[in-house]
Amino acid sequence: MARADINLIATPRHGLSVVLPEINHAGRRMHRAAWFLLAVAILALVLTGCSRATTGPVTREVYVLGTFVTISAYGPGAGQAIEAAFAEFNAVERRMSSFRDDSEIARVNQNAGRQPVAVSPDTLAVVRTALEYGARTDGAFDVTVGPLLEIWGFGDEKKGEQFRVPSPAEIESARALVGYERVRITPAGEVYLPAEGMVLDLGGVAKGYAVERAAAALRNAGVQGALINAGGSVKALGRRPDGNPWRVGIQHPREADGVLAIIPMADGEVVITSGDYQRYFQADGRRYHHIIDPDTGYPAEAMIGVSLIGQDAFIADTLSTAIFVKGLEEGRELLQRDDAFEYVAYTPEAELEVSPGLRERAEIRP
Amino acid sequence: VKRAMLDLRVADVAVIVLIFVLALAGFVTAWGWGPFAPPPEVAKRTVVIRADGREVLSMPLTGVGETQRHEVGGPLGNTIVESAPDSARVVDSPCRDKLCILHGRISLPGRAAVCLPNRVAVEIVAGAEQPFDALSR
Repeated sequence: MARADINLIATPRHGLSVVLPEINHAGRRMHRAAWFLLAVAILALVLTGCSRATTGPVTREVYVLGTFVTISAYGPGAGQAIEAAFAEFNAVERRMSSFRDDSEIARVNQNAGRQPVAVSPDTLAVVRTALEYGARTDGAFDVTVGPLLEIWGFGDEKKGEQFRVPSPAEIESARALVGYERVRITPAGEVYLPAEGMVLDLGGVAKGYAVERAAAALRNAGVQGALINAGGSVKALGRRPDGNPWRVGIQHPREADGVLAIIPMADGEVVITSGDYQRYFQADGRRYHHIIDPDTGYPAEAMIGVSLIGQDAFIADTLSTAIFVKGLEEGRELLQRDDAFEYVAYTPEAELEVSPGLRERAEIRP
Repeated sequence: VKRAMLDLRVADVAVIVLIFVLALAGFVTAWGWGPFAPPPEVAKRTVVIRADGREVLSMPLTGVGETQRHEVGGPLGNTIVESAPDSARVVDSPCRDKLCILHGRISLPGRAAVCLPNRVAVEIVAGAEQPFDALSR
């Protein structure tokens, strides 16, 4: 029988069937089985195309908030989710950046000693929380430390500031302009710096806030997993495409190739690091870095590096700075009475300390 | 008719088996399993240089060969990256801080030297060999 004799007809019970004239009943069943197997095989072949190649992570890197931000995400609509996440970073930069003259924070600073400035609810919430953590850390974290940063040359590079060790008199003058407790929030929700020369610098906390906003955007978009790396502030969502936890290394403060520890990340976890190697200069054989103790006006010397591991990048940023300034002993107390954060700390004696809750999970590198 | 049927079934089975084998090979290749996994040399370390988030150079670290210098343009001017057979470093950059130069030589997967003011990043990547997905610093 020729192949052309095979007819396709619609039957009431079985839908479309293949009917081969003069074939007995058993032969017809065999053929149905063969067609079924063929369909399964073709489906399997088609599904091969739906493997990692098409669902693998989408990665994008953008310079925003004064640093490189890399976001990797996978799952349906990952590309659009990443766009939404970067839109959050851009919005935070427009409102809170210290690098833009037209941001809300820049306007607050331009009007220091003159008048209160209305800001968006987002910016107000960040300022309020920053001031709250100023109080919780006894001023070790202070969003008004800007005048001290400027005299050391760690302010806005565009202003042409040069790194230098300021005189004690300069430090005293700058210290007089520092104090988170002096920032006023009016009943109308305006922000006011009461003295000319005072500076509000949300810097790192704005970045932490943006990380959380971006993470919320990624979740809302329904990504299966994502990793946000904002200049070394890292947040993990879900798991890697292979089902294992995302892994975040912590930079060794003194070795370019060195890593202190690797943390397998739980869903939503962040690693935020404060270190004396992030921005510094050397003079007279000494290292002067950008984390200034608001109390002394000099770079804090209690720690070399502090990494906090927890759920909120914004809060972790305030606390890692505070622990860096206060040292590990006071830092432990701060963590006990505050939010649940684990830590990896590197002391000036080159000793590595890992919080008890992290010791089994973290891979400590010798 | 029965003979024709028999021939048809044998052909069908052959086609089905072939498609199953192809599908299996497709899965195995796509997921990098077994003998279809990428050969070790593909998974080796590569120096990747990015300017303003865009990759401008990708060069495998072969362990042999000569040290090369690469000029990478940024908003402040040219950053000069030196790639050696087993490592890379920034040797000059028009930035103020020079942190990228002070960072030193990098050779292991996942490590990076970054010049933020000139928006140039040098990174060692190693695909599956990478011990972590991101570095907190």
